[in-house]
Amino acid sequence: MKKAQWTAERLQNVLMQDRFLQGADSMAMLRSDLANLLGDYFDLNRSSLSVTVNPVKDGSYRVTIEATAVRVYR
Amino acid sequence: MGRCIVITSGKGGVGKTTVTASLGLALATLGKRVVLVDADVTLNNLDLVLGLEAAVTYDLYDVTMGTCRLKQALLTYPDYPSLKLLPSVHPLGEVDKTAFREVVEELAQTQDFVLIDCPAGVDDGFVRAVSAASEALVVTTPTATALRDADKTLGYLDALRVSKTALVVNRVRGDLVASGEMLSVDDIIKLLHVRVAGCIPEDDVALSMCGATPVGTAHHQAVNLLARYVIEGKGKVYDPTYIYRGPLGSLRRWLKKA
Repeated sequence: MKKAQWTAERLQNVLMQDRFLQGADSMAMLRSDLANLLGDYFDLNRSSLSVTVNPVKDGSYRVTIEATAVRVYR
Repeated sequence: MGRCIVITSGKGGVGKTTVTASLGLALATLGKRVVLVDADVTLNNLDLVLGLEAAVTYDLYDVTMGTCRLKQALLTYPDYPSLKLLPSVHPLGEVDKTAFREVVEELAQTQDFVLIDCPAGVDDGFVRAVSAASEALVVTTPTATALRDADKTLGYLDALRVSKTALVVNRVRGDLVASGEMLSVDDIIKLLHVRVAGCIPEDDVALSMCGATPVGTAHHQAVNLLARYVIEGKGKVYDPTYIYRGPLGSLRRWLKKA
């Protein structure tokens, strides 16, 4: 791997953490907002809700939201 | 009313003051009335970069304290009468934010551009310098540390309601970018999601001459393109890799390494 590519990948991770993950408040707020939104459609196990953000090579990010629901509301 | 642009960086030592001086010279060459304000009160260098250090009588601090009139503190660059400097030489002088803003507003009434050379970091001096500007140029080098600080600085500028921001990538080595050893401008745009107003190649002559580079050099061309970008809000950015492409370019890269 070329040095520039290696630097870019490391930097993408660092910038993501600086902007988002390092701010514990931001993650807590996002989880709370998502729980409220999904709670309108599912009987959600709130503690099971997780959000992961992974950098993709083209400079974008893959955001994955995982949650377990006991049932689906009608 | 002139445009007030703060030249900032976050990280120190990326060439902020040299970029401010070079850009000021280039804008003056293009016929614009420009004043450079040294807002780096404690670590002032703009007077030295422009070779005007011996001419300083009054400075920014004196103006804000009412010791002298604004006109008395302004220095004119010898070769370009349309380029002026408001220096800072009181290292311990506390410059009030409101007074600073008023000085910059007064300057903007008679100038096309007021370029504010911001101190490094994001402390009080940064907030004071940014408070007087409506636009910002964030100077960085293509290194991970400088880019990380530039990204944080862009965030602070956003929080301080400076919406018109762009990046100036300084000290780019075309040979290293071409061989994949240094981040390119495109890589930086992808990472920081910001406009790049200028790309300035590393130039030993520019370093030794503190901004005023001879006509025709790569540095001179790059700064001129930056000045045009600043005036028009869009335009071409200098490509430092073009002489290092192709078979001849490979030879140049090899010679540079040797």
